[in-house]
Amino acid sequence: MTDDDEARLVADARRGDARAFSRLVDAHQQKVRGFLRRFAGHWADADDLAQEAFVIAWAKLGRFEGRSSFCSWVCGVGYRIARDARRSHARAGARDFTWLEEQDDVGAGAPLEDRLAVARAMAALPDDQRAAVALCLSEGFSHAEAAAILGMPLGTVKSHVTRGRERLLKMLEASDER
Amino acid sequence: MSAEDRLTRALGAPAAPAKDMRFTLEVMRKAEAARFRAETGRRLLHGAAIAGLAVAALAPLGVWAGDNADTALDLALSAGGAVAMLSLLRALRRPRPAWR
Repeated sequence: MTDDDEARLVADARRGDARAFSRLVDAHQQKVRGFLRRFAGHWADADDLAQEAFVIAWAKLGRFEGRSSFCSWVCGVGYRIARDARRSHARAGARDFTWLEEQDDVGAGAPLEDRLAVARAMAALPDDQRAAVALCLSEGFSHAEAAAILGMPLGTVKSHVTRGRERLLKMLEASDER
Repeated sequence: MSAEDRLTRALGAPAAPAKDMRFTLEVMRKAEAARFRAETGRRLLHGAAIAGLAVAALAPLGVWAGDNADTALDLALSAGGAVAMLSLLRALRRPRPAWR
C-alpha cells in the first residue's frame, strides 16, 4: 500500500467509512500483532490488545495528525494499552511461548531452541527496553519511528536497543552453557 | 554460527501469523459495538437532560393548576377539544384511496 493510498483510506475512515478502516486494519494487522506478541509475550492477550488498539484508533482517528505512519500510530496506541494492562494485572508471569512452537524452523529462519531462548530473555528485559528491541530489531521500524511510537527521545531508544541487544546476547550465550 | 547471528535470526523470525480476515472482522465488530454503546450513552444523557428541563418547566404550571383547579380544567378541556377538531379536519382532508 502506497503512502497516498493510506492517506486516502485514513481520510475516508475519518468520514466514517468502515470499509476504508477495515482495509487499514487488514494492511497493518501483521505488524501490530507481531510487535504486541513480542512485547506482551502472551500471544492470545497480544491479539486482544491489538484488536483493542485498532478499536481505539477507529474511535480517535480524528486525533491522528499524520506525522507518523498509521501503522506506527496504532503500534503506539497498542504499546500504551499493553503497558498499562501489564501494570494493572501484573501479567508478566503469565507468558506463553507455544505460538513459537507452531512455526516451523525453516519458515521462521531460526531454530526453535534459539527462538524460545530469545523469547524468554526478552521477557526478562524491562518494558521500555523490550518494546524498543521488538520494534527496531524484530519489526523493522527505524529508531526515529520507534521513538515516535514509544514517546521517548531518539537517544533513549538507541540506548535501549543497544543495551537490550547486549543483554539478549549474554542470556543466549548463558543458555548454551547450561 | 555465532551467537550474534543466532540472535539476529531469532529476533528477525516473524512473530505475527499470516493475515487473518477473522481478525479484521472481529475488530470491526468490536468497533461497531463500541460506537453503539457511545451513541446509546449520548442519547440517554440527551433524554435525561430534556426530561429534567421539562420537569423544571412544568413544576410551576402544576403549582398554578393546584391553586386554580377550575380554570385549569377548562383550559385542559378546551385544548382537548381543539386537538380533536384538528384531527377530524385532517382526516376529512386526507385523499381517499382510488379503489373506494
